[in-house]
Order: sequence, then structure tokens, then C-alpha cells
Amino acid sequence: MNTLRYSLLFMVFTFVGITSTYAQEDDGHLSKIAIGLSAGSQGGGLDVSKNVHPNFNIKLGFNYFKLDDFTQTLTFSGESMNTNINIDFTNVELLVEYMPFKTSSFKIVGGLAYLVGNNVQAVGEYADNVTFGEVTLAPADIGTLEIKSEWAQVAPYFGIGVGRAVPKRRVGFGFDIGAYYAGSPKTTITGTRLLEEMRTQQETLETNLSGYSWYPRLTLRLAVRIN
Amino acid sequence: MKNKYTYLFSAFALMILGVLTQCKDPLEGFAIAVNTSVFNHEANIQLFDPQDQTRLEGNQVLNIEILGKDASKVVNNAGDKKFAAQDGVVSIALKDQNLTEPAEFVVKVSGEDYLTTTIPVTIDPEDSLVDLSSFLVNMSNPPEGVQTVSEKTSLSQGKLTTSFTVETPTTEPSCTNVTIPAETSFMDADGNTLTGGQLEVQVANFDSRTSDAIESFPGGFAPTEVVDENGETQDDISFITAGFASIDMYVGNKEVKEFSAPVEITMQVNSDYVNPITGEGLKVGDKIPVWSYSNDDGTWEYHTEGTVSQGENGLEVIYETTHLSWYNLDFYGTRCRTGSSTVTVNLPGVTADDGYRLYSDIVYAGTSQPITSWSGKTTTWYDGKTFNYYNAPSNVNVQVVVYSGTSRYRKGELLYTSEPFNLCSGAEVSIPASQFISQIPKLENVTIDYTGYCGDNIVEPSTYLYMYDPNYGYWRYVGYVYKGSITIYGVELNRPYKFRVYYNNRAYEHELTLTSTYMVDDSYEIPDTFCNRFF
Repeated sequence: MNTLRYSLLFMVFTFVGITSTYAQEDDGHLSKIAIGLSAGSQGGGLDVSKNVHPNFNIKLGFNYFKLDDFTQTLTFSGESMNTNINIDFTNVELLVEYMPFKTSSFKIVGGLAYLVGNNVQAVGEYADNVTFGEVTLAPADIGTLEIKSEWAQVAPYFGIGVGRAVPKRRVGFGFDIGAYYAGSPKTTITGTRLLEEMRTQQETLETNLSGYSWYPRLTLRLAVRIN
Repeated sequence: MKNKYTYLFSAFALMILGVLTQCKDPLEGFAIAVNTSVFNHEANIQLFDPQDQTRLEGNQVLNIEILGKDASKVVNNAGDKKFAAQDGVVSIALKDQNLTEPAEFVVKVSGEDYLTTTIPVTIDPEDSLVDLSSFLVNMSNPPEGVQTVSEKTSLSQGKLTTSFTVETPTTEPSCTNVTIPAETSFMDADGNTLTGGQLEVQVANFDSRTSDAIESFPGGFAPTEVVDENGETQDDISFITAGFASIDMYVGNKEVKEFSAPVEITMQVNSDYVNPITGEGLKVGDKIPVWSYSNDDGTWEYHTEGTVSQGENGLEVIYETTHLSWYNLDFYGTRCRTGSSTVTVNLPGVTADDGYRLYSDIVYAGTSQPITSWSGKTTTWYDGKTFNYYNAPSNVNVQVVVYSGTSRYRKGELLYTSEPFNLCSGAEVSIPASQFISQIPKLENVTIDYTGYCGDNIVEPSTYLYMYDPNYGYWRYVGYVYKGSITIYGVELNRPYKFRVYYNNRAYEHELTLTSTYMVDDSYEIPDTFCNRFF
């Protein structure tokens, strides 16, 4: 919790610090501020942006992406399992946009995100009963399988896009494509009862997921300049 | 310029796509891994023919029936209602996964040329594994201290024309004599008169001084409950036997349970037997309670009070009965719930890690009769090791006996007998094990991790494991493989061992040469029945 607090404070102070510094050099254009609403692979987002230089905007944003109790029947090694999936990739990010061309809204974006939620969790149990002669084992008797993958909480972001964070006109649209780098996930497998031995599969799964270190982001954004 | 952006976007998108497509299928090589702990409550009963265990090989030698109030809850270890003794091992489980009250049932064992016996089983809610064992009596080749006789006579219209006497060999230290009066007719368990033309009488006499004979005592000497002389159930009785006998009769193929007239039973008792009430040798006029045992419900019930009299061949107790069962001349006392003594091993320099595997027991002082069927323990001996015996018999002296073997059925040499002491006195008893431990060869403890497969899926077995040990000459229970892992105590390294497990009344055998104290066997055979049912 302290890490979260410090990261958020860091981002807010950085945002305020940078915008204040550049505000002192206001040439009549640089004090423009915009509020943005976005949607995309990172979920729904809300941000505030400030134009700090003719070629730079800075943006402090919050993206909410949480999926609770999404139930799906998945097949693990030929066995059907009713699986309850929870995903949380909610983040707070501080991004800097560089617009190399005055006549174009093309931009290169970089920054840091703090992943408040950084995990995917799936809890499954057998979809059907298993019968041993006169004994029927219900899925709960067989046990549950829990897989949890957790990424690093601080993730750099790289991307490109079109559409200024602080639009020249009152309203502007933008499109971003990029990726967060969160490193390889740490994966744990926990089984109960007869599935307790699923822990032996942790290494296999962790190896398979080691390449899942980039979290792609495609975003559509609507921005409104407020001054 | 626009083209330049298009190229830039495309390149970036392709780069991200490239990163993503490098990712593996998360479930590639991912298998379902399970253990076979299907049942929360299991019991294994190993049956012994002390004269020749090989006679019990296979699953056709003995008939197994499950009787008693909770019989319907019992299945075999594959979940089926087919019961058998594979190589003398009966593997059963409870259907109820969450037992709230003790499950009580009786395992009835019969077989051609074997004396029918029953084993009462109680599985408490906290019991996950119950291990029991019992000696069987082969009528043609009985254990030491057991004398058997089987004789036939003709019936006329279902009745004896003259009185008929059957007696176990009198050359033995003790014997049992059964006399059926003329005109007696015979009834089955439902009270129906049996009308066959031939009566067969089987009598087995058990000498109280012989450990093999005593091991055959049905239900053990501290039964879960008995019905006393007032018809009340007692759950803290402790028997001290002066001898017991089994009497079975058949008319045709039907088992006789009752008679139209009382049958007289004479049981010889040993004059050197110490009466635990008087503390002196048995003598004429001493009273000994006679108990009868039902093979159908596994309960001992007070039958009558026997009086010791002088017979032609020594002291004897004569009584009558109108029904058939085991009969037991048994003094009895109560058991102490708390305050039992502590037995401590004195073995300087030996720790639990390098201890010795030994079999020990508590017997009534001056006898070879264990105080209970569970007082015998095979465990690791080291300095400071303590033994506590709960529910010990009150007000009676006992002795600790230590053997060189690791099994109650192959005890090995008697190494040590302690001074008599009262287990309920709270006394501290020390065993000077360093005096005799040098006679024991040093053996190793080996941990084995087993893994088997059902196709690509991984199975870590949970099962009772038996090992054939030429030193013992039978498949010896060496422990429970729990979720794929077991530690086997007291084995020699660098020699092959054969192992068996029993599933669904079948034996699965594998061989393993134990070369180190940690072994991995990833070719464990998982029964097809399990694979087909689980996957």
C-alpha cells in the first residue's frame, strides 16, 4: 500500500512540477489543459493533460480495467473445467507526448504506469462429477485449481499515436497504439484435494508465460480543452 | 508525409504483433496432475496364515463379507461393492467423505479349510487410515498353540441318534471337548430347523500361552464394546484370556447357529495360569467368566460363569450353550483412561535420524499375551524415545518386550523383557536399549517419490504399499504412499525389492533396486480402472 501511495504521489508531484515549471514560461499557449476520456485495451480511462511545450504534452491518467467472476468452461489437458476468471489491470500513468511535427498530431509517447491491479487469476474445478463405482465425487470433492499470474507493478510505456493530448480546438480525438512492459509474470498454481499435485505444473506454466511481458494498448480518446 | 506516418504506424503495430506472437501457448505441455486420495477414510486389513502365507496368494482363497450396522457405507478401494482378500489383504474405504460419527462394521472372513473369523472395524471421523490385521487358522495346518478337529456324523431326520463328542487332540497342552446329546436338532441363524443327513463339527482350541494362538483372538483383547453379565454395554473392558475356542457346525452346506438342546463344552485350562484376581495359579473352584462372540456382529457377550474343576487330564471348565460362536474363558478388568505410565528408551548417542527399527509390545506379566491388539508397535528407537499407552488395563502388571524384527508377524528374536510394572500407575520406566541394540544390523531409511501417468496426465499415488522381504517370507506392509511419497524404514541398500499395491481386488507389482536413501520412480503403474474413471 505504501508503494502505491508513493507512486501516486510521485506521479502527481511530477505532473504538477513539470506543468508548473513550464507554466512559468507560458507563451500564451502552454497553459492549456485538457481532460480526456478514453477506451481501449487498457479499459476505460480518465486523464488530465497539459501542454508544456510546443512539442510536448504531459498527461496524468487513470485506467480502469477489471473483470470479476467471468465464468468460462476451459479445457486443461483434455479435462473440462468451469473456470472463474478475475483480471485486474487498473493503473495510474504519467505519460509524455512528443509531437515532432508542428503541422501534424502524430506523436511519440513514453512514460510510466503504476499497475494498481497487476494480475490475472483463474479458479477452476471439474465441470462434471467423477464416479468411482458407488462413489460419486462432486467437483468440490475433487478440488479446485487456482492459477495466478502477477506482473511487476511499475511498467514503462512506449507508443505512438495521432491526436494531441491537449487539442488545438475545443474537442479532439486521438488514437494510441503501444505497449506496457511489465516483465515476465510470476505465476503460482495452487490445487486442493485431489488437484493438490497441480503445483508440479507451475514451472511449465511459468515458462510458457515468460514471454507475456508486454501488455499491448490500443486506445481511442476524446479530449476536451477546458481553457 | 502521410505515407511516412502510415509506415511508422504499421511498423509499430507489426512490432507489437511480433512481440505477441512470440508468446507460447500458455497451456503447452501443461498436464492435469492428481493424487489418488479419493477417499477420506480407508482401512486395510492384512490376514495372515502364520504357517504358510503363500496359501493366501490370489483373490479366490478367502470370502469376504461386510456386516454390521454401517456395512452399507463400505466399498472397496475402487469404490465398488465387490470385496476380496488379494494375497490376504482386504482394502476397503467408506463412501461417506465427511464422517460425523464413528462407522462400525464387521469384516467376516471365511474360506475352504479356514476357520471363519470376523474382524470388528471402527473408523472414527478423525481416522483417515486404519490398519488392522488378523491371524487365520487353517484347519489342516493350524498355527502353533491351536489344535483343530473336524468330524462328521450322520443325522436321522435332522437329529442325532446318539450323543456325539468331538475333542481336539489331547496330547496338546490344552483341549476343547464338545458333546452334543442324542435327539438334538439343529437350526440356522433364522431359527429354521436344518434337515440334512450329515453333521460336520469343527472345533479349534487356542492355548493362552502361545503368541500365535493369542494373535488369532477375534477382535483383540481390548474390544470396542462388550455386553456384560447385566446385559449392559461396556466400552472399557480389558480381557485376560485363559484360553478360547471356536466351534462351528454345518448340516449340509448350511451353518448351524442354534440347537434344540444344550450342548456341553469342556475347555481345559492350564494349572500354571496365574489367576489375575487371586494372583495365584488356577485351582479347583476358581471362577472364570465365559464369553461368547458373534461372528455376525463382532461383539463379545457374557455367557456364563465357569467354575474350574478337576478333570481326567487336568483342570477344566465345563459349561453349556444352545448357540454357536467363539467361546472365551476371560477374566476382565477395566482400563485406565489417564495416568498411564511412560516408557522411555535409554540409548545414548543414537538420534531419531539414525535410530533402529524395532518391534515392541506390552504383555501381561509372565505371559506372552499382548494387552491389546494395538499395543505392539514397530517404530524407530532412539535415545529419549517415549511410549505412552492409553486405555491400559488397570491394576495389573505388564512387561515391555522388545524383538529384533520389525513386524508383529515375524517378530524375530526376543531381545529384552522389562521388569513387571503397572501401566496405570504413572510410573516412569526406562529401557536400557544400549544393552541389546548391538545385536541389530544397521539398516537405512529410504524415501521414494512415485509418479505414474494416465496418458499425459500425471498421477501421484496414495496407497498402502507392501514389500516382499525374503527375511520375512511374505508381503509386508511397509507404509502408506501419501501423494506419491513414502519413507520405508529399515532396508538394505543396493539390493532389489519387490513391491505390491492392491487396487480393486487386484495386485500391481513393481521391482525397485534401492541404491540410495532417496529414490524417484516415475514409472509407477496406475490401474486402468482409475485412469478410465478419473480422466
